[in-house]
Amino acid sequence: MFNLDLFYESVPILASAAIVTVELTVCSVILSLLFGTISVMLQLSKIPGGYWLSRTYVSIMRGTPLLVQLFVVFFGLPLLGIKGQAFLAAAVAIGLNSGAYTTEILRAAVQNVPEGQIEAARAMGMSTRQIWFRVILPQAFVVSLPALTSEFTIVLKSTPLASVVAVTELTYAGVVIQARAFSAVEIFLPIAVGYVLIALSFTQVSRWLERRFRLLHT
Amino acid sequence: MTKNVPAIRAEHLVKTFGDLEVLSDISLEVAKGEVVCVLGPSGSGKSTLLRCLNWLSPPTSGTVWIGDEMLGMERDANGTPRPLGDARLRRQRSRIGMVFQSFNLWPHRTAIGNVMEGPMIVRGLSKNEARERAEVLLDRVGLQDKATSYPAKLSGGQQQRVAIARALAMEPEILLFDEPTSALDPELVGEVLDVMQALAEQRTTMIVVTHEIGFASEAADRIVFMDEGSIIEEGAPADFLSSPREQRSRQFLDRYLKRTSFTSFASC
Repeated sequence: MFNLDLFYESVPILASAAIVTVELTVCSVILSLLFGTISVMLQLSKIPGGYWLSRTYVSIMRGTPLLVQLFVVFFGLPLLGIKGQAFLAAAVAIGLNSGAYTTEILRAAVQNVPEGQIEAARAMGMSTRQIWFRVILPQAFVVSLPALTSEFTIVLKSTPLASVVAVTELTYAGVVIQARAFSAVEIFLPIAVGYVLIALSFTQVSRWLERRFRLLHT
Repeated sequence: MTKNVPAIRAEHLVKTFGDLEVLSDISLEVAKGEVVCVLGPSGSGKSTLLRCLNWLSPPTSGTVWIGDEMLGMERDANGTPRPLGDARLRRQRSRIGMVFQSFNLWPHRTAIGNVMEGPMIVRGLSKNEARERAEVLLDRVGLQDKATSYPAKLSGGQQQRVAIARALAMEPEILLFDEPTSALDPELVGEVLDVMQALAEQRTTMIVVTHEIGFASEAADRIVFMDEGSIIEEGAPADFLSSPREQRSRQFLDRYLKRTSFTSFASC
């Protein structure tokens, strides 16, 4: 039987846990963009060792399970003097992991910026840094929006892994309630709906950004 | 003294790509206010020459001077040349404007955004100062009403005029044009040449690589004819076009006249 009382009771708790999920996703996405941007710049500028460094980062992040990365970060941070920061550890681990995929997505877009545009900037006296931030990256981000959106819904769905280091995000909250109530459907059904709603709202933001910037490329 | 210093001077430029010698010992001087058109068959090294003149593609050997400053190189204490630091090279480049065959506008910025970019980012002008300057320049190239259009919404001729305004916005001492009308539909060539003609009449120092012999004959103070990486002949347009001295120049002009005679008769 579907226990409506349990459903009504758990929704407010789940809602506050959903906020943690959104916060974790947003922080991870920001870090992913940061790591991905730095990594793609290292890879494609002629900084000595940069290419090698970036490729190694991408290979390691793509070649190891996120759960393992999460443990490494969570138990590694205290060695750097940062203790008891489960949320931070989770955001950094997911951000590092996703950053590898963001690197690859951005790389394709960066390499598609016509050489002539870069020459025009260089002929004018712009520095390499200015060319990256004024000419290459703004275009690369717009072109990559659909692929990045899809990557960031994967980030959203990776956040339940943070429960292993006791971040009370949406799925973990569900597990806790279920353990007390001995009933699962009333809890995990709204959780599933919650994830869909969060994913949809991300997609909407991305659509809005795409529409805003579409005119530049048609 | 500065009166006599040429705006730009190239000495013994050689450029090789592997075994291929694209420029062999080119020397060229352009005085302030002079308009030089560079003619020559495809693959004669004209574009490479321009790219050496702003160090986009540094020559294998030889020197370029803008005013009395050596471009891209400096001498150390012993007088041996070495590459110039990036910041100083960029400052030198900002004194030389370049207009490309394929326009190379930045598609994520509006027409006026493209023109404002250099003054703001390279020269450090405020947004308002840059906007004022860009408005004047867009007006000069006849595109004041297209200021907020993105490049994708502009015709090739309009894009190239924005690109000219963008180059002018840096207030360069010399303007280099690399086949500025070669990528344009025939009916759009005129509007770009008109802008360039006006610049020539205002005594802008220009080096124009072009196939538009009509433009060269009207706007140029001097024509330089290149073939196989060398300057074969140079002279005043009237002399060069009516009585070229060298065999290769004659062949080039004959071929050009045969190709265009039909269209020029048709337009008579």
